[in-house]
Amino acid sequence: MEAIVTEGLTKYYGKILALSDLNLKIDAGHSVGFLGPNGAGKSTTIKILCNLIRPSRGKALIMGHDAIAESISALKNVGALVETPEFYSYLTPIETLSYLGKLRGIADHDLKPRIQKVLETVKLSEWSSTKIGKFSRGMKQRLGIAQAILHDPPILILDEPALGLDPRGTFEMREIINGMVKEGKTVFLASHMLHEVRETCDRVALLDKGKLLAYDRIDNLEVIFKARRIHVELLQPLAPSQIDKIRKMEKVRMVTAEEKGLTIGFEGAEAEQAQLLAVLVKEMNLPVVSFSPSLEALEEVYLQLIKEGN
Amino acid sequence: MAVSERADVGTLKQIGVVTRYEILKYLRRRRLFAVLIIAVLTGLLLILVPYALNVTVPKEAKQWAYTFFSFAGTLIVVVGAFFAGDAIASEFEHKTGYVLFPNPVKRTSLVLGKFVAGFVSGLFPIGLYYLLGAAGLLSIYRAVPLEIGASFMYALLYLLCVLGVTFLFSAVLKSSMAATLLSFFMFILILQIASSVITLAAIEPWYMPNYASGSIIQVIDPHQDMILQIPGSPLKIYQFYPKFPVSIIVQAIYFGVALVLSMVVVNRKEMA
Repeated sequence: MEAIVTEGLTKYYGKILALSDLNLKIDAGHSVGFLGPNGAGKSTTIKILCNLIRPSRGKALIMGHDAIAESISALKNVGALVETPEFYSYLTPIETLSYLGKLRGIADHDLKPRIQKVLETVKLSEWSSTKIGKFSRGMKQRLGIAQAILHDPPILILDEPALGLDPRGTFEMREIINGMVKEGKTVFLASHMLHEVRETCDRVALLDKGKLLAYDRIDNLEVIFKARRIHVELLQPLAPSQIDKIRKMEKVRMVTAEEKGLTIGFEGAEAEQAQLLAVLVKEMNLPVVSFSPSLEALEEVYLQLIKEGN
Repeated sequence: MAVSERADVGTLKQIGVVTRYEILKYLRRRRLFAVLIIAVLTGLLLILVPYALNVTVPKEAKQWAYTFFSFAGTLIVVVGAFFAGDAIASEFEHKTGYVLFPNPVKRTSLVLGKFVAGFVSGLFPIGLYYLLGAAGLLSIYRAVPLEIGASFMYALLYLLCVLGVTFLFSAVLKSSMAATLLSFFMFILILQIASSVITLAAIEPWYMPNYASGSIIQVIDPHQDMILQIPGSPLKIYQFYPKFPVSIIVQAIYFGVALVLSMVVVNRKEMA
């Protein structure tokens, strides 16, 4: 079942083209990162999905329901965090979540414990009865996540969820999203933070100037764009002959030697990475301390695509 | 934990939820309190100042009531500006709509819920003003004319009309402050000037909402239209008074059309 579908989605703001013929299909249970520079059309797409703006052409479907024409049915399946959320400053988090929960028709006997649960999840229990007017941006962002997950929706649409959060908050946010992914929920995550996307999503859609540049599994993109790099940390430096041997291995594109480590440009997928590790440890008896795919790979794909797009 | 969402919440229930939380807003922001104070102060001043200044009160209760309740229209405009000016515009201006609109709720329900909240909240200061008027009548004349009840009903009709128009301003304009000020000055100043100019041209401004609201006092002590001729001058001064069926229809039309238009605008308005 496709959770989110966009067909020829196009949006003009006056004469400015914000989104051009976007075709995207997100299967239920997948987590998709929506990447792109400022003005790429990420927020525009999310706003159309949330019935905040109407497309100039094309349509967006959520669980088969038109996001605009059947917005009530479509939005029942969605928990959304759009831009930096603002709340009624005169309400407390409990009152805000009660309001939104009642609007969604959450049964009264469920609402109170559910509010406590989501406030615990986003670490706001301590401030549950404090007026939101006194909240920092990060606290509002946490409350934004709380309201998005309040009704336990099958689809989460998140626009820069880590914006305004400190490093600990960012980590906790990532844990929450990963928890949702493990529960089998569909996550559509717009972000500038490639690291965040790499850690939480299995696919990425890359957007620039309103156009979809690529949509695939992250590891596929890294292979296609020859961007995959593996960092190998060793106990001692390698001899030049050992480096040459690695350089000549299948799927190895390049090798950069460091003092006690290597960076290997690698074209293989995950199974071939495992083989490479086995060769280094078992055949070459190298004292490997760590072996990890570089998080910079997605960044390289992103930059290559943006450059090509331009 | 699974959350049991009802299959269909129901529009009326959602309107009720919005109304409750909107009234909570008026309470928390002390707007209701502020308007109640304005109503009490206005009423007390109108009752006590003539006593303090030894002004002779009119012989008939209806004449006193006519003067006292002539301020009801202004109070209603203040109530409208306080309770409706930012009702819709603020959701867009302060971006709270990003949290509210992505819920499975019709925007029409949101507008209606807010409108009901504005009307219900408006009942308190206006009701209190009428109670004060009734108390004044009882203390001075030992009687309250029945027409005061009819006047209260006309006041509520005007409240609906003012709220409807103010909601339309709030839906159309981007700024809450602009909507509040436009509503206030529209009813207090602009429409008054327009009505006066139209009257000078010997035309009854029956289609103006502020003129129609004159039925609030006209029902207490009915006056007839008249033309005043200044001796030795060709100048004539026309004085018109609202006629009941027409004034009801005019105010009802302003209320209905403005509210429907505000719902249409909100439904189409984009949160870009």
